Amino acid sequence: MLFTTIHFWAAFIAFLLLFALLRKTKRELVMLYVIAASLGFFYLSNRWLMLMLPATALISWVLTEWMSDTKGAGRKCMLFLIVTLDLLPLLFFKYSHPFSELMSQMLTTNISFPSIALPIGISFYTFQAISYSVDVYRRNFCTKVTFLEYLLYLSFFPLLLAGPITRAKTFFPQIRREDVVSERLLYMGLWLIILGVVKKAIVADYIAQYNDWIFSAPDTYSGFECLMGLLGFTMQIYLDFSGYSDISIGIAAMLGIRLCENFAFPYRSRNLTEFWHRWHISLSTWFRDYLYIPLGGNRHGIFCTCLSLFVTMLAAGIWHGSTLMFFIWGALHGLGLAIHKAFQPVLRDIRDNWLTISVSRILTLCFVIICWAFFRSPDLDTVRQLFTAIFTRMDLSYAVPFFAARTTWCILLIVSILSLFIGEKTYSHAEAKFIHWPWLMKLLIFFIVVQMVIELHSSDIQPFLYFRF
Amino acid sequence: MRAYLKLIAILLLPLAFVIWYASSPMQLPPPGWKLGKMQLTAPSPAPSTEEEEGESKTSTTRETRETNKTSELPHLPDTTSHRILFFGDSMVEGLLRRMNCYAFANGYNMTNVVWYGSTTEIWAKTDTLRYFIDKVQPTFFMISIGANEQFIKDPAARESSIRRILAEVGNKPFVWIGVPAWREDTGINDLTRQIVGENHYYDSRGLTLQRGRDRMHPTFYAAGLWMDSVARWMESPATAHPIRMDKPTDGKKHTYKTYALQPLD
Repeated sequence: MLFTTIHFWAAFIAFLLLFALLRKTKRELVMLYVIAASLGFFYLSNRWLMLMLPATALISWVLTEWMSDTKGAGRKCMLFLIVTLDLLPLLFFKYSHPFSELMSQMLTTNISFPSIALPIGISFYTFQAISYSVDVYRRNFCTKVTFLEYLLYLSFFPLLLAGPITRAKTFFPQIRREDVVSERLLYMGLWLIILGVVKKAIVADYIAQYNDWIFSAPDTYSGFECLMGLLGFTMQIYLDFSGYSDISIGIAAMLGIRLCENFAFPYRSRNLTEFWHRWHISLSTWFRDYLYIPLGGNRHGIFCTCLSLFVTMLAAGIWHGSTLMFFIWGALHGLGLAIHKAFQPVLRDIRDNWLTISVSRILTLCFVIICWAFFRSPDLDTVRQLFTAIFTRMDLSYAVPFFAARTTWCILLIVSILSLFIGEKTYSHAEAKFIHWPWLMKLLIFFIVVQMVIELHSSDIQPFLYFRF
Repeated sequence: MRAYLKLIAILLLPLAFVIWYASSPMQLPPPGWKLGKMQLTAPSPAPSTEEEEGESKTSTTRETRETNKTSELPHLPDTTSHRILFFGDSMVEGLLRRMNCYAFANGYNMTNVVWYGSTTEIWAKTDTLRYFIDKVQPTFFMISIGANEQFIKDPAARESSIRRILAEVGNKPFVWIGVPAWREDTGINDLTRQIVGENHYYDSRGLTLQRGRDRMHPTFYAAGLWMDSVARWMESPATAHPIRMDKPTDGKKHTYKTYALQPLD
């Protein structure tokens, strides 16, 4: 069940009504209610594989409790055991089939694991479970947590399917708070939901249709069309995932939980390091804290720093999928980050002015766009065809008929690109204005957005791009 | 609680309205624009040729095993010398010139039927298609209809017509070439794609084609490029029944029997 379907919203409204009634009763009752709804939501996506979630929660919570009372070398062993147990289902579902395929090819046997569908959301709750255990191990999070609270943390449905990966120190203090949910927080949630629906269901889904045609057979298109498809995908993946995150954070706000932002204008970054501070923030900080820093981080000289960066990004690439294309995507970003790190002393000497800022932004964006081609293409041949078309069959005379044939598509792409230039303050100002608008105005805006989704909807509801990870 | 009730009202009222509006026959026309309705049900795709054939057969275990084995083999294009019936609206006229060259290069026998101004409804309601099927006994169909239905108000009403055409085609392999839209359509392309199935439908909307004087039909040169794209797709594993479509290299024109039918009115 997707956040952009009518079924979800019908169910959510019914859920919210009862939630509002239950809020003033016992905290445990409210938690049980949210957990039941979350597991029901998870069941609709994964059927009986849903049972893995409470099982993981139970094992992880019991062992972490045990670890928190242990001292010395045993504590480290316990952490190793917990992380291994947390990771096992994810590794099995995600990599057993491709690994056995690879082995059977290498050993020329015909033994292979069957291809198993990856349970939606498994990566995200696994990452949350690991972050909790590691934070307890490092004593970054020392509060005792009950099993019910922990199960709510892992199964909380706004975060369940594709994050944002939320840390224990952000989540638990908020569910223990006794105060009433403010009207401001509720309307901030509504604002984020509207923003997310516009990004995902109106713009991203619409421009996705054309991008899919291009990436399915780039050699049948001209260079101009391929370039438009690549630009379209660059905007699509950003709007799709940041739109999902906005809806997710908005729903959580309606339930009284304020989450951290997951995207902060990533295409405005001046270098790749900054890009990863702004893109999928919850995942990049997770990889920083639980992989890059344990690998050595920047504590052992420039060579080790670059190597750690490269390995971290390679792991991030492989996490997205076990194909060669994700491996290359991760490796390219790892290489880019390592090169930026190595040249940072030189780059620091360059003075900031509008020219250097613009050039660095354009160069960073170009690199990110090239990497997206690898991320989106099913194989290397598609990437070759795409770039061959762009560099050898570029004819700008296609621009006019292209705009005439796909006016709405072009307008949506241009508007979404222009929106990148709107200042962060303007967004905050718009949010504050929306919150203070009269109730009727909010109703009208929400109605217009719903109607726009209907007017511009594609024939198929596009799944969120990050569900498959 | 009051804040929650106000919020729930904001969420509930628009959703209740769109559901009510979608299920009611009423149309709300704001000046110069028609208020879109949410689709409550999606048309179900037609069963694929392979499924239909599978249902009619009573296969033994050995046959089944062999079929499974075959499905594991790489999807190779069919190299049989087909009798192809290519029919549809005026868009066929542009495509058939290049398609005739493909037919010559790959050993196919073509029969083209161009019915100017025709629609899926006209093809479904008349016995013209039956007549040509009986006459040609085709082993492969190419269809291109829909250009005259791009901007109709209620494309969903054409579902039965499309199904009727597919029923005439029967379990023979076919491809349906979508309309290369010069403006965004009201839904005929999506509807056809959903009914005939992804692997029978070539979606031409992604192509940017140079248009002729009427600004709708592609020029003959552009239609040739369009046919080249269709041909590449027709021999790819993306289609339900890939056939050999080697690119013609002799650079000559080839002609096959072509019937041009005038518009009904």
